[in-house]
Amino acid sequence: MTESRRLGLRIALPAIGVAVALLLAGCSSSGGASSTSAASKTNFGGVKLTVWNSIDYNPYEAQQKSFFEKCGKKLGITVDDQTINGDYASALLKAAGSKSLPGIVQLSTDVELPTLAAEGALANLHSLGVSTEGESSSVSSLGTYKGTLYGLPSNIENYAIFYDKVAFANAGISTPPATFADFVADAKKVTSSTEAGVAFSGQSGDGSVAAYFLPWILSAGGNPADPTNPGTIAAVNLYKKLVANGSLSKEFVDWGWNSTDQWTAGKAVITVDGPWELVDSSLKVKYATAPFPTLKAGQKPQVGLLGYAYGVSATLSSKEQQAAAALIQCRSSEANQVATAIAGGYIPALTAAQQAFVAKVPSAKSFVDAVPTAYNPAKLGTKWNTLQNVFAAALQDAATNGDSAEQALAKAAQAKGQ
Amino acid sequence: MTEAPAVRRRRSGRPVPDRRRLSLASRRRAELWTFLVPAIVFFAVFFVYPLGYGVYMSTTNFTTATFFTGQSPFVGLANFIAIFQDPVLGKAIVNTLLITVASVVVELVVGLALALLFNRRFPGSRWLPTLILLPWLLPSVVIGTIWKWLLAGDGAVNGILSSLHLPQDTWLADPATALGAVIVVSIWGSLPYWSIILSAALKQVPEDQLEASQLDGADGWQRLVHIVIPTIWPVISVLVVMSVVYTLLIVDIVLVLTGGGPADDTATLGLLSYRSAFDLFQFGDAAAYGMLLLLISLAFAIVYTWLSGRQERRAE
Repeated sequence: MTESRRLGLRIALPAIGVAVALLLAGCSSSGGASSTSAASKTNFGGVKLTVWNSIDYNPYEAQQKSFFEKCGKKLGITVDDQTINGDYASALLKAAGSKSLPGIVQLSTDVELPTLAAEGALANLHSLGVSTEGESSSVSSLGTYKGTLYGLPSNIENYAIFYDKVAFANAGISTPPATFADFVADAKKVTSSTEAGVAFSGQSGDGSVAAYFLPWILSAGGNPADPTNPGTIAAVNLYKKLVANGSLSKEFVDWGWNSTDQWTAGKAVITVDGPWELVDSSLKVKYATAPFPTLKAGQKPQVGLLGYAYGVSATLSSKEQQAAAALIQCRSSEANQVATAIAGGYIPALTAAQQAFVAKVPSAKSFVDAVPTAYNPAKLGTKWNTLQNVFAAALQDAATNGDSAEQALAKAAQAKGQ
Repeated sequence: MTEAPAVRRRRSGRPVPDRRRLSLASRRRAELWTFLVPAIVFFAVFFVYPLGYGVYMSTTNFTTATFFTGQSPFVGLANFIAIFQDPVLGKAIVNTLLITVASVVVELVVGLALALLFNRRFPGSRWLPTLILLPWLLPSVVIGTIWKWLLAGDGAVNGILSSLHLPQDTWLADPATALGAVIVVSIWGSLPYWSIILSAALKQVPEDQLEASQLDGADGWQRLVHIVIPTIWPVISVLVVMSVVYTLLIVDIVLVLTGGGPADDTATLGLLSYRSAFDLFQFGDAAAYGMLLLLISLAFAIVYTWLSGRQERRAE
């Protein structure tokens, strides 16, 4: 399960690059939707809709099928729920290019949603009466492109610190580190000959650095758009210090999403990971989660946020669009979101569902607490692709070649034209 | 109604060939084109067009938006200027050439040594060549994954070194050893190919010449230098050309082993092209890197052709 999701993230960016080559024609918006609140209607007898899901593992797959079919039955819609295996981005863009996008599509909010929305392939959900009420603004904004709602976020992902409680207790550490300095000191304390203090990713190209390093920049008060600002320098310095004091193996430069394998295998005490670990029953580590430490005491930690949203094809008729809007609103009910979170290890999009998830899985609190102030890196647009490479190059340079964080970031930024 | 005569006749009464029938020369030309056209079409579709499209892309601002809009503005040499301003380019060119030269030299020397070994009879001499072929049968990505595990800090290589009380390292993360590790893995993957081809070539070396030289007192080294290598030289030169071109394009092994790191210390031209296309979606820059690789390959091909020609002229 976890591997499947990591794989999806790993291939998402390269895949979209290849996939767009298959788009031969732009897509146009039908714009024929009624402005009445379709999502509140209850009967669409005769409407048939196809749903495409991208998350291809069970129990998630079977669960979504069940949700859509139940909602379809309730609304009088015949639903054909499909999960697309393999290169979903290619399939999506090929369908959009040939104007044969299915009625409802699941979209990653960082790449797929803005790509399709920019080409007019998605319907405006506001005009169809879809509501994001109950979601914090950081979550609802994930489904928007240039201020228009094109996707209803159903589940989201962010990151938190995972640590081995036993190792912390053995080292006499009673509370998780609150500042970068505490983090460096605690990592050093828990490092032993058999277990590293920390496992982070540092490899360029697979997107993991963007996910796992971004919270450190933000929690140092940094601006991810500016690679040479003090917060980013402080975040690179943190990695450099951890390597220098032996808490983090310099092999982290070769670790991508699999960096967390070091932690799950008991070879590291602390790592950064996503919510999928919260529901992994095979984990042997007795762990706890914590929010990211901040550069200085009293600062607020911040994380990056991405998610999955359901969009409606702009090529549907007005009636079908209204039916699709009602269907995704039904699918995104609080109960369904909580069930998805528990089964799949996602954070629900609805605030009430998040609280219910925390009640069931208490270690999710660090994730949920970070949602309202989370940062959406998709707003950096295509620049984010370049910045990810800048950060990876700077981390590697500072940690292995002995350059200062300032030098490494300046060099990497210059090399990548930032 | 009268029927048209099938064959006109000369006054002497001998039949005259119908004008519609082709002359021998024309038939030969037609046959020639019948065989040539498929080859020309194949060459045009699969070589000229992709190459031409690569050249075109390298002179345009070709991004993901191009696939939607169909527009890629002509930018002249701007992509080439951009890649030449990349500070990593120099390192990537040096790394690419280092990997290529080191790989080809080691593959030639060790491959020949293995081929000579396989030409002797010893216990296991029948199955060993087959066994050693296995790495060549593996996809590069699998080779990279296996070696990434072997060379990891807690991997098998360090395990063996530790048991022998020898110094260990994080081979792929240390700037001093990462490039060497990439070269070793590249050689490991290609060596079987060299040894098998050279082993087959060695069978062409005349036994009588070897025996005669032995009777004349030539030692093993002299027989190798004066008889064996000159005999198999055409095979060696073809292997060198193929291996140089193949290794210049190295991407997959580097991508899996180090991703070009640490700090771009193992970056190659192929990797920079891959990154431009699939990390940054700058297809114009990626094509420019590709053109640079093509120029290097062409330079090598020109030098090789010139040297071969000179050698042939000397032989005449």
